[in-house]
Amino acid sequence: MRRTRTPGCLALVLLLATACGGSGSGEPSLTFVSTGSSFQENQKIAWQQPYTEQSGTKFRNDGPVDEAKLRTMVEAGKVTWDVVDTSAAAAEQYCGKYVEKLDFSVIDRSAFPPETVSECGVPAFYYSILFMYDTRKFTAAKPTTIADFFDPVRFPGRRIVPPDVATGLLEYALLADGVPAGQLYPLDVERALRKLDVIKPITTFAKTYGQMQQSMVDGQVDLTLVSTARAYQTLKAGAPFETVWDKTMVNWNDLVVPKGSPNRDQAMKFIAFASKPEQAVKFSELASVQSAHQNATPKFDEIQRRIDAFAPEHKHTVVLGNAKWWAQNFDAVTARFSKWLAG
Amino acid sequence: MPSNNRDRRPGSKPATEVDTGQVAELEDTSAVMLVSKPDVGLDVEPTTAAPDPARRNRRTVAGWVLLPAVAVLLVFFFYPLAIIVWRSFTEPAVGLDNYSALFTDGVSVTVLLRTLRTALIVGLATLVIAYPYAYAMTRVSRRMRAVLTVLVLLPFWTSVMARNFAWYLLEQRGGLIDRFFSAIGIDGVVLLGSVTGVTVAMVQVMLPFMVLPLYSTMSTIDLRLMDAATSLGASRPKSFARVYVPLSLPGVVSGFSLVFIVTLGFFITPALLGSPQQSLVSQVIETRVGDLLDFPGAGALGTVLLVVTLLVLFAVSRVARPATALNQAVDRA
Repeated sequence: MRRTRTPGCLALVLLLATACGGSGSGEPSLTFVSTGSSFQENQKIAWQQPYTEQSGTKFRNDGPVDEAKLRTMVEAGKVTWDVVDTSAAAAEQYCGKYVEKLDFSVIDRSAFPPETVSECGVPAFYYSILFMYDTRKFTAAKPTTIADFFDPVRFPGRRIVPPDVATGLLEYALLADGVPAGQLYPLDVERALRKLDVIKPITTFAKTYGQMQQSMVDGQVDLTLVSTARAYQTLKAGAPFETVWDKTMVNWNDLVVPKGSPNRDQAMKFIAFASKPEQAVKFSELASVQSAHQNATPKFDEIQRRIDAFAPEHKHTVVLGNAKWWAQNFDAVTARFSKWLAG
Repeated sequence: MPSNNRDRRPGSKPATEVDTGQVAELEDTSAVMLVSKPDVGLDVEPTTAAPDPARRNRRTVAGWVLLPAVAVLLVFFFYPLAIIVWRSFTEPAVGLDNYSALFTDGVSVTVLLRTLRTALIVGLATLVIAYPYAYAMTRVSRRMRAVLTVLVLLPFWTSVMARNFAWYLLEQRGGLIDRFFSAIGIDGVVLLGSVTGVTVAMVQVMLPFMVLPLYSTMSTIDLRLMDAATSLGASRPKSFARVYVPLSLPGVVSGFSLVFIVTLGFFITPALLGSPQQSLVSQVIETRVGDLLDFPGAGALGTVLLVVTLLVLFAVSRVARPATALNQAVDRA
């Protein structure tokens, strides 16, 4: 009996240690969780620092976002995270169960397209997945449509795709297979996997976004479906990649509050602050993502303009992801996809 | 070729772990005669002495000394393990659903077999490389032995992460291996992301786990036994095959089982150098926990892995015992 209690005591000690580390000397403080690296640095600059100046709230940064950890925390009733940057689909899927419903008396939802707002999330930023190719590899015939990504005969070469299945991979496969953009959802997962079968042996299914960036800079891959932020870093590093503007999948992330967060009200105020146009624009300029407010336009540099899916000359290509569908089907699709992948 | 007196070893030294200096010193003082009665084993006579109070007291002390280790194991190993196994049988419903799913989902069995095959190949490859190496370690001068030991231990002391990233660079497109094969006319040898690439790296990472047990067994083998075999008419290769190899079997078995079991559950190397298309069990478990939040399913897979490991250990103990017994019998003879 004594032995079974020991781990509980240890956990308590650890918890107290973390709690002390988090809350400091009585000042209001929030634990912010995101993907790390320069991306989270930009979130510090665009969102956290001005908020600290305005309200005195201090921040502790943590990462990476791990939904298993989030779930475990909530189930165990030991939530140490206050604000988490996660996909809109996850926000929708966990709404009310693992994440708090947003307080819309504090947060203004009128600024966002209605289909992007859920009870637990408003867009923090939009990101697109771009079809890019290495210009050194394809000099004569260049890829022009998304179908070319799935055509290893005309366009041989190594491909890389994002670590998350829910960011547009299946959608791209279906678009390449001739499904009209308006009829993507509900996704025909089996059809998408059949299309992906064609390129499976020559495709790297990245484990992190950092791996995608590194593979492109190192010349490890010839064709990519890559997120805007990473495309920007790659181009900035001088890698010769060009975007194919045929169809562009766009998704968005939400800032969510884990259920049972000790600083729930503070967290709501911070989300309201971060979703103000000024902060949204500042962050999108820093991180090369699209602004959460489609009407508030960030000032992009030359490279950022080249990969901006919301720019007037590219906007016709945008296909918005369906977070609601993904929320309902994420688990089943992920299970099916990982089985397909490992098999 | 092995016939200098200098090289001969005294019989039945206690099986030390990774000793070089002490063994070498001992060997200089004895080992001149061709065949001699082993001199060790007489100073310890465990069976003759009757249990006396001092001995019992020592045993109680030993029990207390063990307590911290047992407590740590209970808290940090058996308790979480029990929870994992428990959840695999009880969530989402009580029963064997998670286990039957493993055999019917069409992928877990494939991955398990792939993992077992990889572990087998890594085990055999390390054995083939390590056996002559460990043998050489027992036959060279003391200085040379120190060099060989350092060569094994130096990578062993280097972080697994560092070694795996080194392999990452070697195996990637345009890496050393790719360029080497391009130079001899074979294009596109990119091992990164393939089971082959994972296997090659794992062989290197696992090599010390094979060399060290082999060496520790081989250094206790009395080389005069081979001379005895030769003097009775066996050819050199035959005496090696019939006398030396069986005596080295305990080392082979313990080295092989160590490498095999560690390889079965190895995560870093397949995660860094492999690909999801060719995933091994540890990667699949990680996906289940991290992406699918399927704790019971991951637990079931982990339990199967544990059972396989225990079966291997059991089989090893069956094989290893006769070999050890043989070694002791020869020592006594």
